[in-house]
Amino acid sequence: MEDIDIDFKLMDRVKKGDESAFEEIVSRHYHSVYNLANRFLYSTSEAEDITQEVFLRVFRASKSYTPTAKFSTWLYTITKNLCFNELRKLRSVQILSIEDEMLPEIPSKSDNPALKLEKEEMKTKVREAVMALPANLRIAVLLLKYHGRSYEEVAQILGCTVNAVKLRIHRAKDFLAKSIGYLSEETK
Amino acid sequence: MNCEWVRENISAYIDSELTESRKKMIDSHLSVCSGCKAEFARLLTAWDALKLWEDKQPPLYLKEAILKGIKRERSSKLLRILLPVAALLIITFSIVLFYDETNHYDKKTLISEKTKGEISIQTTKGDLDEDEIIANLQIIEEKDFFDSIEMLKNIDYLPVIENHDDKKSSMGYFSA
Repeated sequence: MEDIDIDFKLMDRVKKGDESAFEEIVSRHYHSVYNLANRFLYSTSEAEDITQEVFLRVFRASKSYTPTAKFSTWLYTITKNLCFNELRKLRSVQILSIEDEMLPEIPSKSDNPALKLEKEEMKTKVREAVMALPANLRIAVLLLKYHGRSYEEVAQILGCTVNAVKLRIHRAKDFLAKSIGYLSEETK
Repeated sequence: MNCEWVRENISAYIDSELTESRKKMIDSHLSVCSGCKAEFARLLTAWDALKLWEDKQPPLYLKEAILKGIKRERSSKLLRILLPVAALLIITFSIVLFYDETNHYDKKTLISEKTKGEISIQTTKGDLDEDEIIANLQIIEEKDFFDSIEMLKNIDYLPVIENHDDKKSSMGYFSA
């Protein structure tokens, strides 16, 4: 609660033109924004660009900012939107709704990059498994697992219901269990 | 409570997103159902494995780059405000200057004595000093006065004006 208050107070100061307050906001959150973008796109250069763009948008919107939700929720929403835009640009991926979303096939031995590098570390397997998740599931997993958001907050960020988040996370866990388990057996 | 219900909620159970009562129901089910317990272990292992993908430290220059971007945004914002104001001021100033020039050009005359006994009228640009105008008027008045005296010197007599009632009046003589 104290953290929320700090962000609101800082944004209020930014609104009044306090440069140091904005610097403090950047210091507090740029690490999280960068890591969310980096894990989602798996590209450090894209993550850097997105982090810069996120804070530029925060600055531009600071005059009209009204604290309706947690500051971090707003920040992650901007990050998520930019990540999806980037993904569309990079891969022309069609983002499917939860209803139509189909889980991909479990990667086979021949097309899995992790298996090309034999005996790769578990870390790489995990990363590959997360990256193989469909974008809508991946962002939910990242927000929940790496950014400590609750189902409700993830729902707010993604603009869906809590039940939809619950379903996405369940499907993601199932997929990860299959992927990671499969990779572990193959690399033995 | 059956296995299907437990498996539907087992993911939320791992994430501690269930109410206390539901959590207790699953706890008790897992203690007796090996199938659901295995499913719980499978999902939990995969979920815990995600911890292996650690946070990456952002590059040192990133924060500076963000703040530089904000500075640029601030200056361009300021320029967006100042440029139209400056343009408006320049346009207004130019119009006023142009209007002033056209209205006052050729209107100001500077009268000065070029040579002895002669009055010359000059047309110049620029503002006339008040003292200068007064001085010029004095020159004109004095010149007229002395011209009148010169003229009177050459007159031998004053004409007599006759009235119908035969009354004569004379303007009299004037001698310098």
